[in-house]
Amino acid sequence: MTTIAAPLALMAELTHRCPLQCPYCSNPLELLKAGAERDTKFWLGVIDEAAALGVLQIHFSGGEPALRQDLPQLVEHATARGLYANLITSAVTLDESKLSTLAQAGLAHVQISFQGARPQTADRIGNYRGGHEKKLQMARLVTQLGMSLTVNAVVHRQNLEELPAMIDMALELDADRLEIAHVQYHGWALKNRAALMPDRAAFEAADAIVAQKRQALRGKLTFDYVVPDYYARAPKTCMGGWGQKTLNITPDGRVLPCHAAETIPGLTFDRAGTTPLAKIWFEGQAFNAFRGTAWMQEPCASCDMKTIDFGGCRCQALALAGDARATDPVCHLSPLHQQILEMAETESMADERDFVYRRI
Amino acid sequence: MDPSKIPALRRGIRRQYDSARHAHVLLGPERVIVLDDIAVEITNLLDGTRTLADISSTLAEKFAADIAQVQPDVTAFIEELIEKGLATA
Ligand code: SF4
Ligand code: SF4
Repeated sequence: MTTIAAPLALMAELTHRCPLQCPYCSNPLELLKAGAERDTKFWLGVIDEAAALGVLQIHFSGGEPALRQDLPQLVEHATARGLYANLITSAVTLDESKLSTLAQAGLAHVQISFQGARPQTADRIGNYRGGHEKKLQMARLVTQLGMSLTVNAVVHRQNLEELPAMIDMALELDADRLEIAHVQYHGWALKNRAALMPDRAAFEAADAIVAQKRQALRGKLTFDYVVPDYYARAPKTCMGGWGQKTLNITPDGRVLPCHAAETIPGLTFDRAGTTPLAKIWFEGQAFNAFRGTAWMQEPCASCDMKTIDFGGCRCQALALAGDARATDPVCHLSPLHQQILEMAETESMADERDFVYRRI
Repeated sequence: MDPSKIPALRRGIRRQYDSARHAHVLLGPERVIVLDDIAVEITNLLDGTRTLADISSTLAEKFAADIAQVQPDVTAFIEELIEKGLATA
């Protein structure tokens, strides 16, 4: 076994509570209620352990992390321990005083999700009236307070035509970074796939727009683009490799290699606060289950790409092939690839427009 | 890049020493960049008052090197930071 490097990033899912109800939320279908959440002391301890382990970035996430009253305290503690503090937020519960408290506490970067470019579209997708306008206001404050701003735009069939307008919106907001992410079909998104899947022509048009704008805006706006992998030839690299860069802690304190890892049967998740974080990272059963390449089946096992993409997404392999060790079926070398592509194309033609909204 | 431009780290970008990896790092949104010794010297001078030409000549002097050799390397590094969204000019 090769040596395991220290993790770079910690995703701290402080809560599953959220005022929005996006139908593609990456949280599990079984959401945790407020009573299951861990207290401030727990998270302060996690931060200490993560810093000692070598983590450099902490992402306060959820649900909506700003619903936690202790967020400024956690940000301050993380910053004092040398962690770069990121807030992943819907922004609708923020206001000027909360944001400036967070900035003073050391928050470096705020990522705000946008559900579209037009208020009508965005508010329908998030199922929250007035949300879009509030997000715009908070985004302006983020940069005024000297923090880095990411506009996060999740795109799918029902808002893809607004992509150029979303890029203009990011520019108008003076964002530092724009993350355009096609929906990844896990959790709620898998449930809503027929209402979200774009058709192939729309996705190719989107690709071309992103390629052109990314080039034109070099040095001004940083683009991160997550492709829709059902239409890709190769799967995406799972978080830089399973158990290689990131730890994810759920609101109730379980430590996962990936936010969707709970869907995979046979994995055991240790609890932070009970087991030392370093032990979980280096020795935990779930972290070692898909580390490296020894667990792979064909065609991955003898493929040159295996140390680049690590066979794609384990959760997707499970969801689509019924086996978490299988080659991710979005890969063109998977025996299921053609079937998946056809299914995506069929679903993209569906007239389904209604969403199953995320609910606790 | 014009030598009279004044490069600076972009808002929200931080530089610090990482004791776990025994190196200076630049941290930004979804970005971790481990700096080598030269990169540390250059980023030390990204204080928002020096021009690219100043930075190059300061380093040339410090390392008793020819400015004609130093400037292209400094420029390339700073352009890379700008491209990655970590600096502005
Ligand atoms: S066969 Fe496996 S390793 Fe090769 S490209 Fe496909 S998913 Fe990646
Ligand atoms: S296993 Fe899949 S869902 Fe989990 S992080 Fe990797 S790519 Fe994402």
